[in-house]
Amino acid sequence: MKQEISALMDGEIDARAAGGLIQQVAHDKELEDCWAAYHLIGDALHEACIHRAGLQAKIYARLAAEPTVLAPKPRRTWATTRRGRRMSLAAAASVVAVSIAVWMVDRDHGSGFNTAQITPAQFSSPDPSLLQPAFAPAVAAEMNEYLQAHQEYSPSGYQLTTLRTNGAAGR
Amino acid sequence: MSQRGLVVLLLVLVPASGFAAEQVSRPQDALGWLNLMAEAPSKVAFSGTYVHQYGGRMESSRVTHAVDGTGEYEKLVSLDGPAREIVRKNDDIVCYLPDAKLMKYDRKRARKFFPALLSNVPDLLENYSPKLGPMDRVAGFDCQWVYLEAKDGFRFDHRFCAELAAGLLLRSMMISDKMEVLEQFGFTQLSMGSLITREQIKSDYADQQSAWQADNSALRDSPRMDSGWLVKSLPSGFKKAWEMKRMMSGKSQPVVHQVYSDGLASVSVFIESPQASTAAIAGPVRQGNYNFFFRSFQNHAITVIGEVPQASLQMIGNSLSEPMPQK
Repeated sequence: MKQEISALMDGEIDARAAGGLIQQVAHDKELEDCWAAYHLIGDALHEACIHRAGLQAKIYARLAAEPTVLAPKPRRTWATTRRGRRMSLAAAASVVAVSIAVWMVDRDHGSGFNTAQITPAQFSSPDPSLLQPAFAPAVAAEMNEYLQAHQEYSPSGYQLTTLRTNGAAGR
Repeated sequence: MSQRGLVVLLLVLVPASGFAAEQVSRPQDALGWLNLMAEAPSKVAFSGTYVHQYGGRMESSRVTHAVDGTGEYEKLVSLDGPAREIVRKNDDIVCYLPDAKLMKYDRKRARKFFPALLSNVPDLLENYSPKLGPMDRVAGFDCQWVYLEAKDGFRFDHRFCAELAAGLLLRSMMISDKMEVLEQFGFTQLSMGSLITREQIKSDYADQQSAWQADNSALRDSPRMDSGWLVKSLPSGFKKAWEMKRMMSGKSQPVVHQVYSDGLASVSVFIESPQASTAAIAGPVRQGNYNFFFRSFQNHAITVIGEVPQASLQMIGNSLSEPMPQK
């Protein structure tokens, strides 16, 4: 059933089957929680603002207990879905970041700047948190919240992405 | 001798020969370059595009910077992700978020904006040893590398490349003890000169402002305060840069937020009130270029975050002492 919910979110179920499935989800608390959890994971993956109203505590506790079991499995048609395209863009951006980092280091070698010992380890693989949450979503969301607050007051360089629309936390 | 070696040699010899008067004023040591980089943003106008890499991510921004007798004027436009724009007049900031039709007013506070990452150079020298690095070229401009090597294990090394004429910082790096590049800023395109006036520093959305929502909450709600929480063992060179109580999403009570800085690196300490604390995690965590340290103390959930080695966070987090009761 969880596979079907995942497929429904990815738009991979035809309209008639989807209607039935939505009815089922709407009338089953467990499936509804699952539906919400998948969206939470999706939002976390895409770093969207995580909405916390109401449904969290139970889902968070369950996710904390089994975060990997609830992660939607990539499927063959992943890249053709809207969500998949967004993931692909994220992956592409990572590749660009890696390429540029590698290029910068290569260039440094060429210019005599001694970076022989510097390994762009941070850029050699995409940030794991973008692809697979290493923590339960509640913890990841809290860490993100604190990190953004830190960045807003940190004397290290200003990051435009820390700008958010939600007034209360965005200062 | 390599061509670059020859150039460096010439640069050393040229001032003595009086060959080019304008080069005589160039700093001869790392400290001189650091001072020049710290002063440049208040003296030169520039516009360009820079890349910021951190924790496996990359952001590009376009910056336009003007200076006159009344101060610095700057416009920052994010080129990746959702449209974001910042217009800064000295310490006053307006953030434009067009997707939400929202303007947020704020102050600069302890924040720094590339390429103005350096300030209070004498203070930095307490914690970092300056060293002159090689020459390089960034965004088409020749530049001089200056290294700031951490004097202890409580902070990371930094490297800065200064453009030769005005000393504008063209590229910066933060490097771990394992020689990983943790964070870097770098111009990819730059033009400098006095042609940029402060009249040009206005938002693309300036004429739509009447239809937008304005958010002044950042000016009003985060006054500097002293909660009484103390860090008894602060790593050398770190000083409290800011302290406030702030509301955070998911928390029913305000959270105490203290910021400590050694001038380059910073550490945030978050202290939740016992009623609202949800200690879900404990111990050290690394995410990208940031380290986290979590602990519970007297029923307060403590979160310490910084672009510093884990040792600094644990020293700070483990030496917190509660405020004395007021009455």
